[in-house]
Amino acid sequence: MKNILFIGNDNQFFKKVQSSFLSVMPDDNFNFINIDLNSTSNAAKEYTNISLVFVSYDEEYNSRLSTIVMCLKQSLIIANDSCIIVSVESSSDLKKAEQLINYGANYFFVIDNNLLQLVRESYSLAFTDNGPYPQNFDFQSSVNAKAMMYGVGKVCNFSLVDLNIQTHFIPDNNQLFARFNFFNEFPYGSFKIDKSKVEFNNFKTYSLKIPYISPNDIENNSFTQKESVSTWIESNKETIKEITHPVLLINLDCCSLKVMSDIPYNYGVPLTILKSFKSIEFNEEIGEFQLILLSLPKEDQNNDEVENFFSHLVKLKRQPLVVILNNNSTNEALRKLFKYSQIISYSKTLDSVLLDKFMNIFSQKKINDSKEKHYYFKPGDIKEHISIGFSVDILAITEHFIIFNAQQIIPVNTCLMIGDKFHIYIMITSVKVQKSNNLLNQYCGLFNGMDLNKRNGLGQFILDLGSSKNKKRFFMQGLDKLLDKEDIPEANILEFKNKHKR
Amino acid sequence: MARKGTLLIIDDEKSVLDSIKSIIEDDVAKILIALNGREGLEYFDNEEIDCVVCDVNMPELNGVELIKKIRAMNNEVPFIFYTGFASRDLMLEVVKYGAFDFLEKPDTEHLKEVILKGIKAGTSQEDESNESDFISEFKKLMMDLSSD
Repeated sequence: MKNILFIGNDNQFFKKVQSSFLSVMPDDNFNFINIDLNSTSNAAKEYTNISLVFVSYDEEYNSRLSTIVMCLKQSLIIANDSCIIVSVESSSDLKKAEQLINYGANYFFVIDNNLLQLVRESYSLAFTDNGPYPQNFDFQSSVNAKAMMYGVGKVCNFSLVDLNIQTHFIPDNNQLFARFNFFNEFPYGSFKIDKSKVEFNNFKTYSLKIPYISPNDIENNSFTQKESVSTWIESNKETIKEITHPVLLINLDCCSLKVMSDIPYNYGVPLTILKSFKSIEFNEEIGEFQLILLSLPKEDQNNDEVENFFSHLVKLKRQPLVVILNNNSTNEALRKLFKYSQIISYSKTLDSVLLDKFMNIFSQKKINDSKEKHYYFKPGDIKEHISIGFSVDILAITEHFIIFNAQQIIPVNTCLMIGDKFHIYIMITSVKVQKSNNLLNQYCGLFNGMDLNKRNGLGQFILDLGSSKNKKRFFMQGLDKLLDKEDIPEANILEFKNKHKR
Repeated sequence: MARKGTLLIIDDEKSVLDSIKSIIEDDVAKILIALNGREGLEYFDNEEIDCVVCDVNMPELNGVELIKKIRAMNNEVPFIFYTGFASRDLMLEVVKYGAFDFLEKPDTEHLKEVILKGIKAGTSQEDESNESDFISEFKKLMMDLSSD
């Protein structure tokens, strides 16, 4: 049985996708499941063995969609390598929908495009071992052009001093070349990583210092001063909230997706979900969670992992409150067994009523243990979205694929962009990681997120490239034209990098 | 005070059974004893049991297997595990099925108090107050965290 999940309100599009699957692959056995964004009746664990998810983007439900997709992906209810496809009405919606990459989206589709191609590509990505991509892509360069590509990241929280961001990129030399969506004058360039923090669900969290200029530096006063950020926070009080301690859910796929996603969506509390205790990195960072909700499944639960978890919590300077759900043991029994005093048990699962009662108590608690106030955005807010740039060597390009070399380690299924202001997306489908440090990794990426015009333009560009004499020059000029390239201030970036070398 | 409830004590050492019985016999209406889990399980066919004091490590049917069987019968009777802490693996297992308390042998000082609490919980309708108890305990712990 091949399970395909639909999330969102565009039922007409979903019906078209379903009938295309049935007509293209008549011999397959599909099970199409619709998730109602507001349903609390189904436990998340009911959506198991899902390899393919379609999300219909709707700006009105952006925040709810983001949190539902995050809950699906983080709780690993769907397979880790499953494919999440986001459909948008028109290419103008792509920039707004792009932040869904931070929540797990891999591939974009503009719905005026070829539906059969979408069905074939998504089927190959989700249900075949080889995927729709070339298997032997050990290419000798036929283009040999340098270009910038952009991955994404998310601002988890920030203060006037630092930015805590989450991404699955592993930065080069402790630097991230990033563009933030805060305000125009906010620094765009190379940020030094102050420290790497806890890693959950393949996402690393990094702390970056904001590179303020000195007030005496008159020449560079176009770059940010602390007062500008402070004023910007004041004038955006409606969308920027002061941070509360985040919540961690472990083993809680017995709750509905709606209830889980209510934590960030309704109560504005940052949420991390882990499928099991295995995914926890034991360090002081776990003390950043003030509340941990978990269940102790009767089957498939390694007792050593649970014991390690509590013996680690006991050693923390700041000990989180742990709520054990679906458990009939008394608080006393649990506290004695785990030698941890901050445990409460509850015999039922987490439902909307209970969540409302205790989140109202929880969210009233203000933290006062940080020197700087930290702020965060509502999930899915475009301001939390960042582009992380890196340089690549493009080796070859076809109508469907692009082959390139990069120093970066980029996980398979990552969605990247060519150019940070334009909307040609690439989903990494295969990687050849080079063992030697001096060699670049080779990647194959599948184009996606193009409307019909752009798709046709790319087709023509590939044809013309094939017959051109100087492929490198043709490629560079043609790609700019194809992407309708805006004026990226490359010179400014370099200037910024040079002047702010730390 | 009127003696109340039915207590089942299960342990493979007769001296332990006798010692628990002597501590609690004046406070409980009925005491049943069993030398292993299987014997203990048989009482559930005919008796309304309000609390179980049980070793974890026992021959024939250990504490984990016993509580699993009792819970499978939809019986949420309070289980107090009176055991050596060497049985930690088994204790981590029983806690998933709902343990009322753990006491380490040979602690008899707290045994009576814990058993009386267990009997009280077993004879009352705990479910109704579960949510409000939970919320008030949650509030209390949050207050403690705030005052750190």
